[in-house]
Amino acid sequence: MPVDHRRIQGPECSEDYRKPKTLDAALLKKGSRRADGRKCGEQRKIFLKPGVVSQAKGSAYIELDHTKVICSVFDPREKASRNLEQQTVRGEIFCEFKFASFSGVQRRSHQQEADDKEYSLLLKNALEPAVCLHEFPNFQVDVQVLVLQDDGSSLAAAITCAGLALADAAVPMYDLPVGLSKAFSGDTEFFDPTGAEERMCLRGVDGESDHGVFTIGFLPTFNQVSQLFHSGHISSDRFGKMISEVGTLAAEVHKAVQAILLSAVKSSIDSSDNSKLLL
Amino acid sequence: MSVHIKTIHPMKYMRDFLARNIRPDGRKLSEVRPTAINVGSISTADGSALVKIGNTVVICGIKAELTVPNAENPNEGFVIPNVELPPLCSPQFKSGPPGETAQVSSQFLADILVNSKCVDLQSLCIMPDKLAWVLYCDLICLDHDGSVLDACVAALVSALCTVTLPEVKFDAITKNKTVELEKRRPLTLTCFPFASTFATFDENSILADPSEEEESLCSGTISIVTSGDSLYSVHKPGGCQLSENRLSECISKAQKRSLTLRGMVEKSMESIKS
Amino acid sequence: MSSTNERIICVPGQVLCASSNDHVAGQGTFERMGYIYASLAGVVKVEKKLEINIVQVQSLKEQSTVPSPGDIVTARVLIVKSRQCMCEIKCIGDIALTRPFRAVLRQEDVRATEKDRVKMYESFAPGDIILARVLPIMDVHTYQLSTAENELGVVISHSEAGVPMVPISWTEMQCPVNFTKKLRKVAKVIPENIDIDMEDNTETEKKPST
Repeated sequence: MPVDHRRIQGPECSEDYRKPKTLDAALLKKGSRRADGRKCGEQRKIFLKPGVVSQAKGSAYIELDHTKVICSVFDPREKASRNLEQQTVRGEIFCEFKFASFSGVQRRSHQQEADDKEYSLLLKNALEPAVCLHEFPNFQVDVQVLVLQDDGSSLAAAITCAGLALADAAVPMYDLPVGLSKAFSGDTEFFDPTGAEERMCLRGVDGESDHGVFTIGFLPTFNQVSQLFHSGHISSDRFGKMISEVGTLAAEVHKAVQAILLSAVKSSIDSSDNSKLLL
Repeated sequence: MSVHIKTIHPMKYMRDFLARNIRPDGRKLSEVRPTAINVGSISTADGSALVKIGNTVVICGIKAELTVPNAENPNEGFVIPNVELPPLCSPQFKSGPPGETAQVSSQFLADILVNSKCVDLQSLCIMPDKLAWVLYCDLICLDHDGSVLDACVAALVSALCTVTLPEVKFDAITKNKTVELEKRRPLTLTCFPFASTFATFDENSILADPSEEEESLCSGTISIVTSGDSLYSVHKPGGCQLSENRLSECISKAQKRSLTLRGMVEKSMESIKS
Repeated sequence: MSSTNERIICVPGQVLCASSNDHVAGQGTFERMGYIYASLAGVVKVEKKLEINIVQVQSLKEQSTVPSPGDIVTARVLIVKSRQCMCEIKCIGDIALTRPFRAVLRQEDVRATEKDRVKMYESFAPGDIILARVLPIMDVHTYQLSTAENELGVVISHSEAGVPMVPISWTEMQCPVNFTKKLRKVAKVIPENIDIDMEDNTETEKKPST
């Protein structure tokens, strides 16, 4: 492997001290409660905060129990390409999604890994339909996302967080996008899965044909799906049913995001002399 | 109007404030910004800390792994610090491999670890020449608003304080290692170095704990790493000259601040224990 | 929607009102299926023009403004070449930008008369603050500026002694410390700009780093 001279190098090889965990087959405890005491359709407590990065135009932080994601959005800048053919009448969202090296059970490399790239693209696809791209032709808005700790549903958390950060940066949007994630194995469905539940459902339990995880980007005001990412196996009937349930699940998160944003706007009116400007 | 002078004529903007012995954010020249230290917030890491100095935020996560010690130092483990300045923390950074500032900061932290010997590398050795711990300390800046080195050093030291390592038994003959995840012992630090950055402006004003705006306008910065009485590093990358008196003034201020910061780390350590 | 002191605060995607002949969508809003929605988080403002109410949302953050042709901008000269000089736009009108834009000022756009006799080195120097007008965009990647008006040109320029120079004619500026004269394309400035610079007489001053 080539030596990275830009970083302080450790020993050539090192290994995790934890043994690869034998996957816990019993995800549901007695009384159909999950490992962390939630019901199947229950969401973890959401903590959201806009305006956490002073150097960014807009930013937000989201915490779903152990899943912690921070996002910052910057001023629109001219698109990098010099090629005239690539100039478009629409703006663009540029996303960079990164897991911190200490975010997971296994240590991750500093370089961008395959899933970082994949998630960057998924996030971009989820956000673009929500943004009024025609308002900044030929410009791109940079969205930077860092997962500080990953305990499942990190892409869904990132979508919600980036939506709030974009609104905080005063990027014109049609709606506040909301990210939702669901894992399923057999007949049991886990809304807002933890890391263990995600891994379990992706692998699938022996004897059950249906298993997998899907993450959805949703625009609640217009009841539109902006992006859907599914991996695993599911019958098409059941899939349709799951999608139709999304609306009600999203409403709760959407309300929370709206409330946070409203109070942020209110407090900034109260604290600044912007008020005289607005009279 | 002030915002225009600031963008068009930043030097004058700064001087007008300093002439009245006050800084653009309302601080006195020697006043540091409010500091907060939060330890153990990342449970996937073996040790972690989040340090906030004013707007500047640095998070440090430490992952411990097992490795074979270096042949030159068969009874020592490793501590590998790396600083990341991602584009997330400020628009001045580009994505991709670490830039010059990040590389210098990483090396600065590595030097402090060597000079201060705050982690006894021999205590990281499990069996000489066979097995030792390597602590990967990854520091990520989340908000770049000046004096980032101070926040990095504080985050590194506080995160090291929280590291606990499981007991490992190594059988030299069968090369079997058994890790007892339940039996964890904390890492002990021999000293607690902390950095204090000062910015020099026009050769006669010295600003403690400069913000990003001040750092970009000043003629030079100086970072002093101390732990109470001992001095581990004085880092002055270029800039204007500094008289001896001024330097010793800075050093004594840095020493005082290192004690305050140490108190804060101890306090936050207590809060997670209880 | 929620209101404090009779101000209505909204978030993106919120319905503001039904769109009709006398209610139209303005800045910070969009229209869809007969309704006006907010596209920004901020305060709702209704502006009455003739018989029409324009529904707008004003954000608390500064809107990201982009220079458009005809705007008067404040720019700093970065590099002076023989046929053009590179500048960065710092302010558009009276809005200070958080991120500067690159712009070019060509030899033929320096002044309105005797265009061919303009020498760039005798008109600008790196570090000068100039007022200029944005020209129609020709190249996608750079803005073109013009100073071919009496009110446009150099407004702040520092001499070798580091002090701001005083304009003495349309083509010259003088250093108040060592009285050297320098050639510039001087703007006919509004008096308040001169006041600001006159009070600044510290001799230890250095040139702002370029």
